[in-house]
Amino acid sequence: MPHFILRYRGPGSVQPEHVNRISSLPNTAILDSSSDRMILVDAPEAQLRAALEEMPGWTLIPEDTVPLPDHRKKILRPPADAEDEGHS
Amino acid sequence: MPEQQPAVQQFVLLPTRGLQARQPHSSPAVRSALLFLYDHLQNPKVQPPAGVRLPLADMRVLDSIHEDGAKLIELRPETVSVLRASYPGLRIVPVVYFYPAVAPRQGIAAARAKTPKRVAGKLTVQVLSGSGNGPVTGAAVVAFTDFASRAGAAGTTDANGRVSLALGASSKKIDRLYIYAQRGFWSLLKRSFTLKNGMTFTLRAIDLSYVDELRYIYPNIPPTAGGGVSVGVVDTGIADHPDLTIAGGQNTVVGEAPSDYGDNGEGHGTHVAGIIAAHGTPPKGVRGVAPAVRLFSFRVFGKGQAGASNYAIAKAIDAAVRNNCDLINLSLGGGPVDEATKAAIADARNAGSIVIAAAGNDDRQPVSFPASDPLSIAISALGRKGTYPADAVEFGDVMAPFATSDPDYYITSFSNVGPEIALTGPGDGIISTFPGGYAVLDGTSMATPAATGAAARLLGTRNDVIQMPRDAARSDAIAQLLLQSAQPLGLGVTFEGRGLLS
Repeated sequence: MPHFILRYRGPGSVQPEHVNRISSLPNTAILDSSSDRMILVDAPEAQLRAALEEMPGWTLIPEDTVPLPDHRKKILRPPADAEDEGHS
Repeated sequence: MPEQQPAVQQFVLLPTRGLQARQPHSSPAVRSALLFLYDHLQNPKVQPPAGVRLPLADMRVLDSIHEDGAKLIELRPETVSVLRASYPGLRIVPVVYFYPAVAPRQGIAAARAKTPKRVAGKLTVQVLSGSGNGPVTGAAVVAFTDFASRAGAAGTTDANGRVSLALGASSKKIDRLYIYAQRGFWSLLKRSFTLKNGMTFTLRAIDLSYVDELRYIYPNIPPTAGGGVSVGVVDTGIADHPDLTIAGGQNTVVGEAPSDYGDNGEGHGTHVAGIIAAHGTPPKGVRGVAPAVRLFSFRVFGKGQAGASNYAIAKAIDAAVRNNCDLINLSLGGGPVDEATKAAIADARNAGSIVIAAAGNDDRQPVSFPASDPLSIAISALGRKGTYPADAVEFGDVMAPFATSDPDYYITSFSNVGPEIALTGPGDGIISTFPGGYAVLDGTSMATPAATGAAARLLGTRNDVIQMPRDAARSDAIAQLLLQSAQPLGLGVTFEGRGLLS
């Protein structure tokens, strides 16, 4: 199941009952709640969206990854001509 | 070659957060500007009130959503830079048109594609150290038979410094050969030669007193530069190193210890940190641009993981704000716009901190996210001829345009560019700290901390800005200070933005 980020951007701070409500949803695991604005959850997306309709201030964002920057030149394909140009 | 005059483009002007300029999320200056543009749309003859500085002669207002809300405008990309410098809290977003996702027809190249030939023959080469001729282990050897199509073979040297390359022959004409050392050496570029089995290549050891591009642009950095400024590095973590002092930080990778914000083994974050804050003295150490900053490490790349999650990045930005970091360095990016990172950047701006982000290394492609976010300060990579050895890989990064002020300056061939670029920074052949020693790296990843360090140095001299309450007006003041202090080199705004911080 994909992971989702729930970020709170409403007035005031996160209400604990909101977090409790999400954690009590079926087939839902809270993977991280150590942030004061976000939680990371493993849950069905449609179910989360339905729950958030009654919890204003929260946004639902799929978890994604960013690769480590690497500017080194990369080979995209093998040499076109594999014939020996010298001794073998 | 002179830069072509860019055409007029449409942009949407947005307040710092949301669709209407409401305090505390937008400064009074941003609100005044948007309100005036609404009046201007109704009556173009109306004069701007005192304090509103808009390039009205070079822009046209086409539409408005609310009086203090989004505006559709038309202007040239160079005017975007002027507008951004006057109103750093104003989000300036290029208008994007979406089209039906019709699958493209197969082109001729695809139709003619053949099954790749089997490459049987290999040749072995050896990489040696220039200091003592010992083998160089772990060096990436990349041999292009045709650089334009990126055809060739690659491998990594073993404990004896040897690598076998599947080039299909024991002797092969090579267009370009790159040898990238992990640390301790300049990487090597050799062009247009015949590579033969058994050849050896020697790498030049790093001399810490060498005047690389960073030290050429920022010479004689005093040990007090950047004092009073806190900088967060959101990256692979920062290793213990004699040239670095880490004030604190957090590992935001889920499943790992929050207190483990040391380098994850990649070395990228340690290199970035040294460019900002290394406090060594050559020839025994290196010095960054702002050695007196309070340096914080926020690790977002897990151990053994190739990617950082947007959750870890957003959490790291939040943590940097909580630690009162004035500047947050993001030498990372790529992929689609992410709403979690975007929200964290906006929340940082509202809390008086600004994010400085790498434009990306995709060979002159559009600026990648999160640098492309209107509230980020996007940095391109500047190069300078003569600040690296003649056989170094950096020689392969030279590409037009060259600066009208000094033609030895160029924007590197790998740097992404576009109207989002706010500043440029030295990013070609930069010596900095690395786990267990020192390394030379290139990239917008290196240009970004150079700009962050220069920003910290500048901010450290401005107590009036540092002492402001931590809100949107403070971050606007910091961004404005940077954008108005930069000096253009004559590379064009889509390449260098407002220019280089001196």
